[in-house]
Amino acid sequence: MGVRIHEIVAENQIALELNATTQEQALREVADLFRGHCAVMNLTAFYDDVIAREMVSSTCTGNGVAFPHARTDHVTKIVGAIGRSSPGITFENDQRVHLVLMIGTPKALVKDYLVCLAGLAKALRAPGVIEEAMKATTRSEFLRALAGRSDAKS
Amino acid sequence: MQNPAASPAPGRLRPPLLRLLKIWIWIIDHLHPTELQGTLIWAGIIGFFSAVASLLFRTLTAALHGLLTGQANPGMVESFAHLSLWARLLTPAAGGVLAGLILFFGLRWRGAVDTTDYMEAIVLGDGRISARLSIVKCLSAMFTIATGGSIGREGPLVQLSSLVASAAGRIRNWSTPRLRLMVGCGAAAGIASAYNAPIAGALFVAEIVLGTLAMEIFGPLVFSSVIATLTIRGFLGSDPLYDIPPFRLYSNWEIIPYLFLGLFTGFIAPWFLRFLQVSERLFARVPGPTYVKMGIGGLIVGALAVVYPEVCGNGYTAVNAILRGDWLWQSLALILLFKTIATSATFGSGAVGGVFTPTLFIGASLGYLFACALRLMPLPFPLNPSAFALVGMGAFLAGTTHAPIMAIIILFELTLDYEIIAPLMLACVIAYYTAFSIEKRSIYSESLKRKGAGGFRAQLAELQVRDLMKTDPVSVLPTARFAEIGQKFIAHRFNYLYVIDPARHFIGAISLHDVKNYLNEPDLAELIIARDIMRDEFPHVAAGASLTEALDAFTRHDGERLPVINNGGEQQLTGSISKTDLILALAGRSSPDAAAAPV
Repeated sequence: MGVRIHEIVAENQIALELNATTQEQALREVADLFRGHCAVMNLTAFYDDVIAREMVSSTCTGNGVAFPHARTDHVTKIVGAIGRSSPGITFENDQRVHLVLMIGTPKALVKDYLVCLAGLAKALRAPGVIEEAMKATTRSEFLRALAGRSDAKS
Repeated sequence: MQNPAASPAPGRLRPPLLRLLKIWIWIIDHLHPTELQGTLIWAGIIGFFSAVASLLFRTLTAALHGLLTGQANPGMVESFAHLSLWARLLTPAAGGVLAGLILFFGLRWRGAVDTTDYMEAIVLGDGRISARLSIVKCLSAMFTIATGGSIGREGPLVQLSSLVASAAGRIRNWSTPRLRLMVGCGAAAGIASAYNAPIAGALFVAEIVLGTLAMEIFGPLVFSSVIATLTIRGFLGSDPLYDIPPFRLYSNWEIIPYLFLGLFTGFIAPWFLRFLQVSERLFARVPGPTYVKMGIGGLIVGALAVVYPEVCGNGYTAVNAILRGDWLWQSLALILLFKTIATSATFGSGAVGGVFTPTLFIGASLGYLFACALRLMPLPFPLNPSAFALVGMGAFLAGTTHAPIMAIIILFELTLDYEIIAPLMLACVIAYYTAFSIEKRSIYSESLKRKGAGGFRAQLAELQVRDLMKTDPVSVLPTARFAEIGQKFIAHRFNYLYVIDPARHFIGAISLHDVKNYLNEPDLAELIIARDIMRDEFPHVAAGASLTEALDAFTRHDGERLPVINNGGEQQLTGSISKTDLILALAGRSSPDAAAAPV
């Protein structure tokens, strides 16, 4: 069963241009996109879980994408938010990140979490996907650029 | 395209390791291997090597016999019949002294050894059989057997086979319940090798040593026995041990004399046991070290062998002669008396060996003589003394060992004649009840008790999880990468990998089945660490929990093992416990002392 990006990321959870210039600011800005999300029960606690995970090990994949994520008790289903930065933000290990994909998963859903993460990471490796996403001018166009290649198989 | 020769990115598995892990996952998904299946395989391996050890012992004993007597004939009775009278007198005596010297010097550290030891009564204890003790005893038994002592070779075969199993288990670092079971498999293989009787081998250990027929235990015993039997047959052929005449019941009323045979042999059995004990007490009063007493015991056997060489050895030749009806009852009565004295002198003097086969001879003699006596009465059907000899073997064995099921099965395996089943079953059961009503102890009770048989079984009742667990379980830190996780799954072939924090607190477990489909994903290999994929709510047991509490925990878990955490509030991972070990321990605990109580 495939996971499409628009199944976990709604247009309201997309920031086409992040204002952040540091890693911490970027993570906070993307986390704020979940404000008011019905499946995020405690945004502060969820953000703390993401930060705690990020501090343990970097989630940059080396192609300008970061996947800060957390398995947490503070979401009721798999949720996602994306922030884009045209100039890029320097993350740990001096990696330049243009797309920040934040994922939150309930702790019990280990397999679903792997399905989702595998699918998204694979989709963003496809040739041209990131370039198209960086050129998008609207959220729907941005989402379509990512969704077109985001069939992940469980 | 990525250069396959290049090192994989950090966090990713090397291709050969990835292939190995995929093979292991395929095996799990399609074959569902369990620890019990592994136990069965090892039981078979132990059966094979036990049979090889048995063959080696037989060969060495025959060679020693040839060296000491100058006789190439491996049959003890035939060999002694060719010796001069002086040689018949002195050979068992010399053998007794040599066997005694081996015990004296070999077991010096244990103090005087002057108690009867029927070696087939193996005590499993914690499964750790002393190699030195076993080898010394087997060497001593070899000299006694090779020089005509009235003992059976099944005892040293059981001891050797058990030693093989114990050694294998200690190398493999098996848990105590698994090691006990494997030693039992070795013992079963020893009996099976001695008699070409796989079912009897398994039942001997199940009934006499372990006192349980739980399938978790009986299955591996059978496996080991069968492999041992097949191995022996491969080397020695499948000819029957005894020349068994065809058995025939001419009338259903013929069952009644067999019923009385059961009563008769059951009555005699306890007295045979007491006779052995009297001999032991008499020899205990003889001043001097072990080798002096064993020399005297050998001299008694030699003196009896001067008249009847049939008293020598374990009695195979004599039993065959009985079954063929070669003797008049008067001669047989004398041989029976002499053999009983020879057996009690051999064992009472301290010789180590098996009492099983001499017991079969005595049972055959009693059965034959019983039939000869019955023939004096006017009966409406003919009586075949050889048939009564056969049934007498089983009945007397049931009466002395208190193991009627094993006695029935071994006689059936020796004869492979279904006609014998009805009278055999009846006689064995009646002999058992009769013997037990007179004497609660079996022929192995004292021997097992001295070796501490009841002690460990009593300990089983008090066991906690910490007594059965394997320490230092395989684990990873929450920051472990995919490659490390995959390598640990390959190296240890577990389905669950435990996750602990740097202070060894147990925080969860990774399931192989959760990750198996994503092992080939390069992006996940870079992104995932252990804490991302572990199951937080994972069942575990406390180290101080009872075995039944642990079994209850397994009802909520589909795996073979559970993590064990210490009892305090710290929840530190201290070990892991296997469901198979738990079941084996509970099965061993649930049975009473087999040597003392009816089965």
